[in-house]
Amino acid sequence: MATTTDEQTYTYVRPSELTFGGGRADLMLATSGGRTAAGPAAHPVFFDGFLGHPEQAAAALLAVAKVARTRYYMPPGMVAAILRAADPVVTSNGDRLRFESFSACCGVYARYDALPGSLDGNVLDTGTTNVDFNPPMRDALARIGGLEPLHLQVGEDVVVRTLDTEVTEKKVPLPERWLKGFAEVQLASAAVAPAFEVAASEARRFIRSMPSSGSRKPVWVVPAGRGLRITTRPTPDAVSLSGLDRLKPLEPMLRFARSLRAYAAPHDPQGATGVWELGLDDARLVLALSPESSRGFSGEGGVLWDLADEQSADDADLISALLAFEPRIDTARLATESGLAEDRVTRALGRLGAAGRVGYDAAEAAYFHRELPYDADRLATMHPRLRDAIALVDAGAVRLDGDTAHVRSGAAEHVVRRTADGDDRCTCPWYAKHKGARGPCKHVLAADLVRKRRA
Amino acid sequence: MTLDGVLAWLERGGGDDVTRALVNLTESDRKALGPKARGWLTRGNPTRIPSNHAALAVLATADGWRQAMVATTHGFGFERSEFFECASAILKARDPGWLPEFVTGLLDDGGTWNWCLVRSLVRADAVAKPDHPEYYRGTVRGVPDYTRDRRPLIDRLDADPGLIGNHLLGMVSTEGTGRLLAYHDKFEEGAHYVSDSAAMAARTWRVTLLVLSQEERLDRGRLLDAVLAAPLRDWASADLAWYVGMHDALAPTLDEIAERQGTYVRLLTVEHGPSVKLAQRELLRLMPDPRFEAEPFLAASQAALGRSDKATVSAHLRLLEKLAKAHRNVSITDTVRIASEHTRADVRDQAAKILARLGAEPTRPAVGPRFVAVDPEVRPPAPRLEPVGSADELAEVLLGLLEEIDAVELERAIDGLLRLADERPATADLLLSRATAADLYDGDPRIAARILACAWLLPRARVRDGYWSVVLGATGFPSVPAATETFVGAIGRRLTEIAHAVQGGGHVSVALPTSADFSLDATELNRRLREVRRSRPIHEMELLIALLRVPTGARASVVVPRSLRKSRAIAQARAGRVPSWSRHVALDQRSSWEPERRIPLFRDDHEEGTGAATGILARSTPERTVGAETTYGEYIPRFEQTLGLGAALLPHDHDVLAAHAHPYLHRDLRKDRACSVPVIDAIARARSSNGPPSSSAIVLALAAQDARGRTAAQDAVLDLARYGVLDGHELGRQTALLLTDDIVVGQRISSGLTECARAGDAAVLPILDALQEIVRILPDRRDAGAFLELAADLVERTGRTIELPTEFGELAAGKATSMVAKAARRLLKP
Repeated sequence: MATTTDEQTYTYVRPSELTFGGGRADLMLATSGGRTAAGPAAHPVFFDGFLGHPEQAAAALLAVAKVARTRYYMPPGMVAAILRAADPVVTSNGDRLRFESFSACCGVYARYDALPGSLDGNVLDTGTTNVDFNPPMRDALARIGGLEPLHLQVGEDVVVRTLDTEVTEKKVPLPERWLKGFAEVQLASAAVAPAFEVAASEARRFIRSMPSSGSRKPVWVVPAGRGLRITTRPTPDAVSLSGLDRLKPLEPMLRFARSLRAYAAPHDPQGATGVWELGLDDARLVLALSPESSRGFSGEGGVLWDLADEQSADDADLISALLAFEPRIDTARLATESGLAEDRVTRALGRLGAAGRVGYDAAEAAYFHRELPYDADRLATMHPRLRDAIALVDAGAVRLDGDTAHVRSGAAEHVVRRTADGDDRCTCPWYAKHKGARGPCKHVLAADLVRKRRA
Repeated sequence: MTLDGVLAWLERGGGDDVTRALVNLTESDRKALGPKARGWLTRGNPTRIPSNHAALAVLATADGWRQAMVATTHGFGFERSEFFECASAILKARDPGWLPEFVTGLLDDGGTWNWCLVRSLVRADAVAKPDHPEYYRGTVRGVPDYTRDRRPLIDRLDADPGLIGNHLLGMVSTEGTGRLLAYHDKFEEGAHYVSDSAAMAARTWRVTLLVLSQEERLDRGRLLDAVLAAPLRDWASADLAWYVGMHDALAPTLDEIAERQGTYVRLLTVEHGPSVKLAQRELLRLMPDPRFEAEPFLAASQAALGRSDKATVSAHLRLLEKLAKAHRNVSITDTVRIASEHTRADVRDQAAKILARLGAEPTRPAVGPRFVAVDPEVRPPAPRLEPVGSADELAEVLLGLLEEIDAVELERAIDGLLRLADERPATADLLLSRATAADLYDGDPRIAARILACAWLLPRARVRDGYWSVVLGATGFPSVPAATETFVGAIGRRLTEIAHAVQGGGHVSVALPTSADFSLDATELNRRLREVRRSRPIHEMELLIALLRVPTGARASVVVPRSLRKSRAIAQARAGRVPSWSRHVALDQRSSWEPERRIPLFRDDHEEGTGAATGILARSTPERTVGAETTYGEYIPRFEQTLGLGAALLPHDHDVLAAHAHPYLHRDLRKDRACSVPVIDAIARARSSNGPPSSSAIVLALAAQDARGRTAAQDAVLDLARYGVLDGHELGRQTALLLTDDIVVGQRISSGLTECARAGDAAVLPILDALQEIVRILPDRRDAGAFLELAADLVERTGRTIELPTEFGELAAGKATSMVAKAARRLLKP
């Protein structure tokens, strides 16, 4: 499969650093690019104050950084990781800070939410940016103990710094599927519902007793007695888990855990997205895992129906103008302010999520505003199936015959048959393999576009 | 010098001559020589110029760093350091603008030669010291000479003194170095072909760094800091073991430990167990010293006590007790209470005793789940199976099967193909082109879909007999199909016969299951048979399979058509005779260098599968085929799906199915991917008690290497228990036999049974029954403790008793404090 890779250039005024002195630790996170409430910014400044539960916070930041540097699945034939780690993304939502990262294999998303109770200081701005997580700083983070306060600065006064310091530049190649997956994981998370919650002691027992290796085929986690167990049977109340090692990022955090909560996507016997949330003191560590370890979030295609809906594009433009880096987007308020129905607002938010402009917090069951600090144009045009479907329609490759559509694609003519219950079935290999579980194929989308235009 | 002269030097000259010739190339000669030199390395070398000289020519003529990379990616024969000296001399003389990028490219690519070239360039001052992790990591393999030079490593470092000091400290502080250091040291320590062991030790990095620090050529304090910092980083555990060994080799003094007390305390919180133990050891030494600080130690102890492994937690409890004795003013009570929640009973016991000695209120044990005897549930009916309705739908099903084989869909396809053999779907051309274009390995079960689609749609006149062979379980090269008398061979034989029937047309479909558990109602089968017209033949094997899908007790009610009444296979299936199983252990050794394997077999002494039933109905001569069967599908990724097709043939004869599956279950004991999960799932659907083969199959799966296989077996135990058909005694008997024959790992089985007991009450009593059988063979076994502890837990949970062998009674009466003795005492408690 051909992939498109562009380089992301991070420009930091200086490397992030952690210093110890005067009985406290000072963590300065250098920022690069992104947006604030006032618009694009080169080096946003978000926070200056103390971070509560310092040892826990340090371990959580390390866990998030580790996910970014890990490839949980190595495709056959790949002898080395081709992706250098992208830096974590931090979002200031006014009352909280969120640190996000995405694994190199595009299948694991991690987010550490430092909630209001853990921030004691000045929130200087809202917005999203990249933060430098260099090795010396990570090494220093590992030395933070529980008894010394942790002073955190996200960004600093650039004017002062740049007068005497050389700018640090770092180039990281980011494939299209990585960017797309980072955006689409929010949509997969938006489809989940709470499945179960267990106490910290059971969470520790379950995660520590998990086999260190296992086949990549999905297994399911179900409540059993007071705890949890793994089963090979797909059941609607279970949470899918493929690649048992992908839960390992939670392990260093277990000693701080208060509870473990899991959220499950709509049941799919082939595997579904699972969201795992470790409850901490005034914080949360969230992991979203793709349905299979060999399958990244980028190909899920759950949003394609919404994207194919031309009306939702206008709605998304309208809604995006009303967002202001809220920690919890209130769809009812947006519906009132925009004059749109709530379901149209939800669809518009889905569209914005696919473009990396909102994230989803399963604990709050709500979207939050953040704009991924990557090339916005690239993010908006990253849906090859939709792109190809539009090309098929433009080329006149779709012929409707009642409930059946014939779509000529290359040398083959595929038949898209609408069943009595309204499902579209295609004869292409994509449909034969995934049966619509990963969104519609381009032929189904093309047929749908033609039907809508004729309606 | 002319280009011909340069070529002559390249062919015959020494390193210095070649370097001189290449450094003095004119621009036109450089342009002429460049493509040739790169061609010698990439497209074959028709000249007598050696590869290393060609590589030097590439470096001397490259226009950019990517062209220069051809020298190292395609060149060879760089063992002599002379090459690197020449290469750095040439590049230094040329001083191209792309040299820093070339260095980064070399380091990105990794490899010893690349590191040597970069180091040579740095030494020659051609480039600045790169800030690249591979520059430090590569030192581990770049400095030693693995071929001829068997001198101590320190001599190699003396030859490049710039490395001693910061560079070596940078090396041990770089991620990924730990595992390389461990590989290297292990290789040198285990290099049996070298007779002088002292020389081997001196070639390890551990001894080399120790000697350098003793000679004060390397800062001992910084080395110790670097070694202690490694486990604190978020590195993989494979990178950490070497640092623990290095720390022990450094043997820090009490002053050094006191100075780094904060770091040692932080080590108590890391995941890497050996590092935690290291910290416990050193902090124990420091404890009596006045410099010891109790508060951070107690804070970090919470992490150490929260670990799941017994040894570390137990050691930490002892450490805390010593702290309480050494520092009377320090209260350890709250910290010790954390261990009261540990999963291991003996750890909880230890914590309770410490609390009692401290005069503290013992932690009230968490109220465990109260045992409630549950009545067996009624198994819910499986979903109904709908036959395909049209040729178009059949084509869709076949398109899906070309991507992924699913036993239910294949049965629907077989039924559809037999019924609709004379119809043609609208997508016939598409299906045919996809089927013929599918590039599948021999033995891949998707071959069945391809052959069935071709048999349906290709013009009948164009095909010959034997064209439609479905080969499953292929093994070896060239691939050999599974023997027809084996189970896998029978699955292929059935599909082959279906393909022939479809190609011929006019056959009747009778075997489509009525529900998704592959069961078929006897009344539905009778209805299908009644409606068959005389002119349309019924395939013997399909009727056999249809009968096997009917519950055993109802088979006699099926009215067999006159044409097949003489079939012995049909008569056998209809009789539904209960097999008489005898167990054997076959010895199998594929190659002389492989260990001999002991494979459990079950033979049916009553039945002999004949005719259409061969390989399906009975397993009468397993010892003849087991050797070959263990190799079937071993390297075919979808072999699990093939076994899934087999499981669909025997929904009610789960013991026969389990007997057939034993070679594959045995293979799963050592394979990372379990292929027998569909068989275990089929056993879990059983509606009658598990006989010896099913029980043995479950135990083998409980001991599978792959976690998914083990989980499937736990699911089977839970399902059978929930529906009241789990014979715990039989499960225990088979476990005891497999443990005695040393076929399975006891720890995996005890863990699996523990998980099952934790999951629900329904399985508790059958597991106790199984443990009653297992304990008989446990005396003198190393894995006895886990079984006895589980038995003790369940006895306490249910109030039942269990009969122990006398050896355990004697052990319980003594003063032993082992896990086995403690568990035996709990079991014998009145």
